[in-house]
Amino acid sequence: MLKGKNAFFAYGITLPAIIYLLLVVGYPVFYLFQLAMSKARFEAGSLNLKWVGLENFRILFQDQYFWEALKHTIYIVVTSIPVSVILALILALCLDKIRRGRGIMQTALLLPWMIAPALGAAMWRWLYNDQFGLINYMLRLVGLIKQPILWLADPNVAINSIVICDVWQYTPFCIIILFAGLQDIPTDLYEAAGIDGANALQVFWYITLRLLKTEILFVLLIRTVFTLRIFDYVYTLTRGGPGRSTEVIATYLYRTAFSLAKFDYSATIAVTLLIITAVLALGYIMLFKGGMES
Amino acid sequence: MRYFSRQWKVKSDNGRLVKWIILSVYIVLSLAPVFWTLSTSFKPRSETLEIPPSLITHNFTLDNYVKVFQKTPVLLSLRNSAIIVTGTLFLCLTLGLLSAYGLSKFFKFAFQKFFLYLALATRAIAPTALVVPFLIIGRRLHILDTFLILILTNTYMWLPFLIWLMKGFFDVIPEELVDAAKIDGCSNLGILRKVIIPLSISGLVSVAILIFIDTWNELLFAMSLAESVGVKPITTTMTYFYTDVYTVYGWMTAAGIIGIIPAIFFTLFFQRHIVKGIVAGAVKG
Repeated sequence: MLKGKNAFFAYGITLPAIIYLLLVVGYPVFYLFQLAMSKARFEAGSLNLKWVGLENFRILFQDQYFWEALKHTIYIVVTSIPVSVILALILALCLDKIRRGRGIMQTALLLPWMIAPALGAAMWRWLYNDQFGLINYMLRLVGLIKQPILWLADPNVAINSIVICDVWQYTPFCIIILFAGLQDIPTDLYEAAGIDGANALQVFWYITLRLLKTEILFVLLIRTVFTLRIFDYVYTLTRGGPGRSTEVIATYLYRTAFSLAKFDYSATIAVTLLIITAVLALGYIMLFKGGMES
Repeated sequence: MRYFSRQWKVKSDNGRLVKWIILSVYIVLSLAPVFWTLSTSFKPRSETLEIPPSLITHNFTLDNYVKVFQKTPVLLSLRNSAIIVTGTLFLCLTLGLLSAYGLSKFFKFAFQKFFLYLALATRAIAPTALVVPFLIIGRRLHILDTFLILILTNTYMWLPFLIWLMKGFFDVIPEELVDAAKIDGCSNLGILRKVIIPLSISGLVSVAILIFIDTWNELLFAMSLAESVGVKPITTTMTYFYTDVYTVYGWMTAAGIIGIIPAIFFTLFFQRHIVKGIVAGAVKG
């Protein structure tokens, strides 16, 4: 192993990135916590902070809008993630079994993930248009609906419209990961199961799902972390409306800062978001570790 | 036994057909929105408001695209995006490759593990949570509404990923190769440049493409930290026609289509690389 001068060299090349991360992420996170525990006031063009401890959090816990935003965020997490993971599992299993056209199908499946939400939102707004949109037209054509569905204007429907966008955009990511996992399962395991007379369901349950556990947990972890901070689609499609029916944590904190200029309170929401994310991520990692050992 | 195997084959052929159909149906459904958007961008305004809607226009026109060029600073914002993406890639690769080399198995020093997990932890911080601090700190440093702040903030989202991924690729390089280069009189940096990077180039390309696409598509920092047309990237132009009251769908879709061309180009031509990068990130990150 390398020592002395080399260790010095190693520090020299490692530290720039670490210092960068400490300055560009570490300090802002520290500042965020400071902001969350202060009352901020604009004085002579600059922001003055007065320490108030956990006062902002006390207000936050009594803030009905925050609880609503949290509820909507959790709703999207618990609907979009199972749907996209199950869908991805089915599609990955199909992809694993076919030979012809696999490459082209993989590209086609991947494509939605690469489309900027800035276009994705425009696209979905147009599809969801209640008078001229393609979706309502198709549904009426096949006789599923009589009256147009107000995809983005009906408070009971709008959040589900966002879930559909989220599933559409992030299922490809799940497919890629699960498909890669499937390809790592040795084929002789399947053959052995076939000789032992296991049926398809048993093979799926005892071999595929067991061996795919790591990938499934990974996909769940990443999707949870990213869905908790969902912003782009909500902001561009509904801005949290109609009313507050699609307000999520990220749009709430964004609006609090950028429309109301309440930076301290926005920081309080942000810190809460970070804590929720950290707790859930740790939970998954524990499951991960447990899964590895068994 | 022969009977059994024949039956098995017929069954699996049928199964394959069903799988083909499932995949095709999903692909058609998931690409229909994109096709529909593309089709809309070539329609005159009157035709977008027709019932039944036409799947392919009967009055092909480029008017919507012309309008985008007339009404928005689209070329300028494409240039801005190119600058931001190039800067982000440059910063990510310079800092990330050096640091991944330092954190790889070829060196051992105190805090090595700690640095690695520190990088991982920063990756978990939501960009939405950091927008406000970035805004306030950026204003204090007078770098708000500049390329610099967009490059600095975009870099944070990918640098930790790059470090972890490249460290993973570096760690599987046999030590003998490095030792041989050392005997030939190669310096540490020379080894990185002449041995380690060439051996992990395909992984590097994968990550670079992912960084490119994701930075190109980034919207949150773009709309919060930049104000002037000389700085705002293409995603802000793509959302230029999003208005609540009067929406011209032809313009809106045309602006969006222009904006995703580079990302789609990379997806179609480097699909294998992208898949590889994502999978490697999953396995090693």
